[in-house]
Amino acid sequence: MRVASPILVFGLLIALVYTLATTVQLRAVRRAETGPADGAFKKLLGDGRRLFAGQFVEMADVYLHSGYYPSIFDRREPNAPKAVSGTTEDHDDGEEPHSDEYDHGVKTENHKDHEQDKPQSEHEKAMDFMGPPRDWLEGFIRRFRVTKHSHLEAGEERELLPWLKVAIELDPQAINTYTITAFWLRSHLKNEKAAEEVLREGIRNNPGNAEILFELGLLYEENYQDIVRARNLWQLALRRWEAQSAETKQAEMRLYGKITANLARLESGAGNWQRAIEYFQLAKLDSPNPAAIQKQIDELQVKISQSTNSSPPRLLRP
Amino acid sequence: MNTIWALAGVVIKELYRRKDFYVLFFLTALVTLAALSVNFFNDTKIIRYVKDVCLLLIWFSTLIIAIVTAARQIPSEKENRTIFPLLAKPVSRGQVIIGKFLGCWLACGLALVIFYLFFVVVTGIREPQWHLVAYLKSMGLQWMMLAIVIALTLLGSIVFSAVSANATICLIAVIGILFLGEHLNKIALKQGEPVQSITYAIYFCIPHIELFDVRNQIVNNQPLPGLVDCGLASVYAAAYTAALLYGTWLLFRRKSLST
Amino acid sequence: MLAANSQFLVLLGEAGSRPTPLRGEVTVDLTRTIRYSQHVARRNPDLMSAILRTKKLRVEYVGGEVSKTAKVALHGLDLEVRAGEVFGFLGPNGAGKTTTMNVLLGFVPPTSGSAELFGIDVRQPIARQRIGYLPELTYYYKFLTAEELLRFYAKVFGLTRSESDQRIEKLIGLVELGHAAKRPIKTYSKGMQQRVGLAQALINNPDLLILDEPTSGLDPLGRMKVREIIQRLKNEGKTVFFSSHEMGEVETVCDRVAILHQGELKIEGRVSELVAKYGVANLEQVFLRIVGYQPQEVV
Repeated sequence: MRVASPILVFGLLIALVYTLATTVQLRAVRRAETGPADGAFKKLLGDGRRLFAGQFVEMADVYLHSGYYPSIFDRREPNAPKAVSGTTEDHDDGEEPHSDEYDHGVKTENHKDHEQDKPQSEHEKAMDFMGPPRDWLEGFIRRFRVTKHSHLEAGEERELLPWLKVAIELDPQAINTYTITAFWLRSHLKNEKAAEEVLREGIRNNPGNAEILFELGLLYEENYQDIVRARNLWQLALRRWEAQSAETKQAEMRLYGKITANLARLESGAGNWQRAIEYFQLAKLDSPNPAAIQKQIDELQVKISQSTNSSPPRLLRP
Repeated sequence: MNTIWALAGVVIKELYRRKDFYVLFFLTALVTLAALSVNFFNDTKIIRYVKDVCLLLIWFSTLIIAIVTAARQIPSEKENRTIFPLLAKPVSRGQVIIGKFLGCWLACGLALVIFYLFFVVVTGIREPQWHLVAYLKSMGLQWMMLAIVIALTLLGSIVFSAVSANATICLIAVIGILFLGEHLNKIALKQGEPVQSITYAIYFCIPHIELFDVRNQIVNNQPLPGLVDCGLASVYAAAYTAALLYGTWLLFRRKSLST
Repeated sequence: MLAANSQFLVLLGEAGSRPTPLRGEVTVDLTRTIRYSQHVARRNPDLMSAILRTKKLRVEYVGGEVSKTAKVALHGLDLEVRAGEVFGFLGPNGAGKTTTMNVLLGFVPPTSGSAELFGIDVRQPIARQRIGYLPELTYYYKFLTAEELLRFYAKVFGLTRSESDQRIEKLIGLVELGHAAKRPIKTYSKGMQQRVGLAQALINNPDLLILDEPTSGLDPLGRMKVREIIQRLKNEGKTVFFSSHEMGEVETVCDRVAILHQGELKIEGRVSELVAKYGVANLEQVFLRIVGYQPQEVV
């Protein structure tokens, strides 16, 4: 039997490899043209993956509390806001909550001075789920459980990220997950670039979403100090909000309040008081504290009248 | 005692000559390393989710090893007829039960040591310090929990004729206790009588194996119970194990075995 | 009295040989056992020559869930096997031979009556200290090698490391498994498994061997080897109690036989005496006569 020449075999292999490469390349190009490929989760789980997404956000909340977390048998209010969202007045552990130093844009004076006098917050109430043990066995079991309420800090908040990232993968249409992730990235982990990437991914998956645009504006204002882009983003967010159906608008009045309040604060800071007043008027519509907003409006009006009397009108600052 | 140790040795040899342990270890290692390799926002210090995943897999794997190994001990001896040459020796049925239990328990202990060694190495890649005392406590508590599970499964192997039925029922019971055990009293208080009393009775009677689950503390770097509490928990496990093994012996000693 | 009575020596180990080491509960049981055996010897000296004894042994099996009727496997069996003899236990299928063995080995509890080995109730594990058992179907731990299996059983009997090394080497040679001793048993042929079975039955140098159909499934060469081993054991003064369907073998090796039929002992005695009593040519004819076999005329 004649043995094939090594050169011939080598040549055949090269031809085979070249053929495969060109075929696979063509397929890859064709696939890229048809749009983004479905992720592994989507293929594996289908629409059921959305059910898991909420669980993973909850896992992040558990991590935030270092394992001290109520079970489904302990929870009093099933829809109570999770601390991981960091968006409510629930925090009283000394850390500055996300935008709540400004209640709907109104800076609460002596915020920290009131800490000692502050009654137990909603969050503290929700996390005070243990109570005294009902029997000796439960008392013994508690010695093997985390019983102290605490939050991650000093960079340890990074531990939330994997669960939030997985939650985003599982449910790309869950807006809250993008905003939560971005919040922790930019405010606690000082990773603004990653926060921006997350929010932009959120916009790609949910084009024109007002909440994500607002959050992106916050990123530009608080972290990049880019007032112009922040204003543009918030104005875009406001337009997107207004373009929604009446039903959706009604459900998202709080977002509207935040957008308008922050626009008002931004314009006030930039010296565009009239515009600021206009935004405050809009913010007042759904504010839980309209008196405080009215006070802000009054102060601005005083400023306007004082500047009108003392100096010629000046052009609005961009 | 020689007989008991000899029986235990045979069980351990069986475990490391079967494929179960290696498959589960490989699976645990694969999934853990895959989790470790994922990049989350270029942060290389994130470690808790890796610990969580690894510990969950360790718990799952050792439970499977314990239940499957214990479930087939007596039935396979009967099915393979190896029980006859064994009992034809000066071996009492009680010694068979204790020997099988000890073998399964020690085998699971060995498996735990290997799993935890892997866990320490993996977490050491990202964590600057090893919490060795905490890991040892966690491993010890898990080992005590497995004693209860093995004893329960051995009892089931006398009651149920089919290995698969016993393994399934024990697995469901164990998972049920892990998830619901400590909450039964809360559920009971929301019910009316007589359901409340029955639920409370079940709550006090079942072995609370969820007690030994301290993964939450390990993952979140929280303090573990002290040595006294761990000692009390071990006594609790030993008491339940002894009771279950006694029940197993009571049932097994009266069973007729025909060649 | 203790030293004079050879049955106690059987329990403790033959004179001059190292007694089987006693551990834990075995020690406690033995003390009680010796006292009990002394009591029995004082009251019934003749009975103590029987190594194996059943008295009015009755075994009933309760039916399943559907039918609760009891099936009587043994109807008050009285049987004695004396030290040093080779005893054949015969009967057609379903006669109760296996049930008798199961009772003697402690697998099945008797419904009534008693069974004793070396004067000790069979329900006590210590009764099996000086016996070896070869089941008909030889199944052993497939993941163990022959050497590991023998070492395991040696440990069960309480043999020391050096004793078990000696015994294992001797037995592996006896059953001609030297070439396969370190291979897992799952790789063995049926004949090899049978030989492993014989080796494990002899690991403790037993004084009583209980063999259940020892030549079942063996080729003529294998059967001959088993007969040789039985003969050798007899020459060493061991007692052999075995069941078989091979009448030729039984006639060759047995001192006495018993024939069981439908749970009852039909006949017992020396082979030559039985053949002479029934005026037939061989033991097979005696057997057929006992079980009531009527030869059909071939047309």
